Amino acid sequence: MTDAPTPLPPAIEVRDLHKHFGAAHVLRGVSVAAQDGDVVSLIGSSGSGKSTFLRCINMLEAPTSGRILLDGQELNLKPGREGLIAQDRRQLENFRARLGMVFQSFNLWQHMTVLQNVIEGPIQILGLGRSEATTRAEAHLARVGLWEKRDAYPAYLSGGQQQRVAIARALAMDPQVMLFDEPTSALDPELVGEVLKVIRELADEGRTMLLVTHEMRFARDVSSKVLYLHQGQIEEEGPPEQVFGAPLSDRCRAFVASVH
Amino acid sequence: MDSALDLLALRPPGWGGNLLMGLLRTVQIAAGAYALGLIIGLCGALGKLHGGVALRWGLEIYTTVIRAVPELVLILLLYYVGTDLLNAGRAALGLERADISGLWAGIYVIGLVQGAYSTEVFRGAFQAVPRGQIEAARAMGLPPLKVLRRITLPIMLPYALPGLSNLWLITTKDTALLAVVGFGELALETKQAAGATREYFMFYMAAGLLYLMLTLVSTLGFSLLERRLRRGQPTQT
Repeated sequence: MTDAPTPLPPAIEVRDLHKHFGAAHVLRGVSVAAQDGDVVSLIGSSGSGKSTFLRCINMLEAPTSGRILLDGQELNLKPGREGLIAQDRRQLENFRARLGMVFQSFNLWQHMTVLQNVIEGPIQILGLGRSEATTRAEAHLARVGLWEKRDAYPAYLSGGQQQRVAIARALAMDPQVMLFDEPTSALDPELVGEVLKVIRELADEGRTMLLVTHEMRFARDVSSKVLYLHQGQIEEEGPPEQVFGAPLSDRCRAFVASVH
Repeated sequence: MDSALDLLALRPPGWGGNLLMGLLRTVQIAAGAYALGLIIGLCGALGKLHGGVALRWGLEIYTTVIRAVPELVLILLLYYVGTDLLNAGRAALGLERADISGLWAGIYVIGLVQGAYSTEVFRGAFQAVPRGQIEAARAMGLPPLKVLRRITLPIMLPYALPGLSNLWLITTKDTALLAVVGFGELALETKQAAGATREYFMFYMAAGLLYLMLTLVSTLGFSLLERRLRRGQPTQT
């Protein structure tokens, strides 16, 4: 949050992550560290590996090698069939509960109302009572502007509304770090703004976030650090003014110019 | 005609009571076999989707063989072979021959057949569950069994229900095949009543109506269930 030196370990740190899909080497040693309150954006063209990287952090994809640390505590991994897997299922579940994930395609549970979607994790994972979970969920829904939709089913909401519910669902777990995987890429252009507004508020209040996005202007505005990925490697890394304003890498300069 | 209808009276000399007892046994066997089939089917589908190579092959053989052989043959085979095996086993253990209750034998035999079909129904339904919704649950830290119980099963069920309701109707009629092993369900009771009175037309019509009623009630039940399970899904018009 401040540039004063801090003795604390990074809120989240990923070291030298590699990922193979068969013969394809899609991540070639990516490292990221975010201190509390940092907003780190990952940009790059499709196929650069940025979504895969995000999905490796909470082990939705099995990395081939690398280390994942949350608050200085390392996730214990062991070799599995398709890459590394967690040694201890409980530790993985604990890590996942502390990492709030927001998906490109929202992934709200279709058989549950908005409110049920938001209280599910707190009740089933954090062990909250139903009434307390409901009170908190309603507050989260109110802050994303969807309190009055709490009894609606996801299928009856617009994409932008669904994504805001998905953000409320992630917030309800009170995660240490939020992972956003292209949260506006599946939205109609006129619905992008309402979702970005919510994410910006979260950034402003000091939430630690990793954000994979194609919204360059937004990344420039909210990020404390931006990573440009190219073919599974970090090609450029720095504050948004550098990456967008004066990139050191020619490729990054070309990419930024092409999407602006 | 009056005297013919008298034959349907519930008390002897009427045969109505026998027919209703037959219907009751038909429903008992169908319900038991269906429940067993659902359990086998759920486990079978999960095994086929997530099991190891040996389990997947075993299940493939089970579903293929059961679905390939006519049910009448299976019932005769499983009933007689099953009884023989059981008694051979009991003899080996020094126990007396057991008289297999027709009810339980029927439930096991038809349940085993139903299990093969429902394995395939469930497997298709599981695969219809959007992957992202399961990922969202896993990404939150929900343990695997809770993912299954809270997310996968309730989303899967509406996809399975049309197939499952078909299987239930087939089960109710499969029970009639148990007449060949002498179990007194509705079809056999009807045959006996008709044979004893020579009123074939009336008794078979009566039995047909009873099967039809069972089907109508079942269809109503399934459509209510489907409406409940599909909550949250806009209806296609």
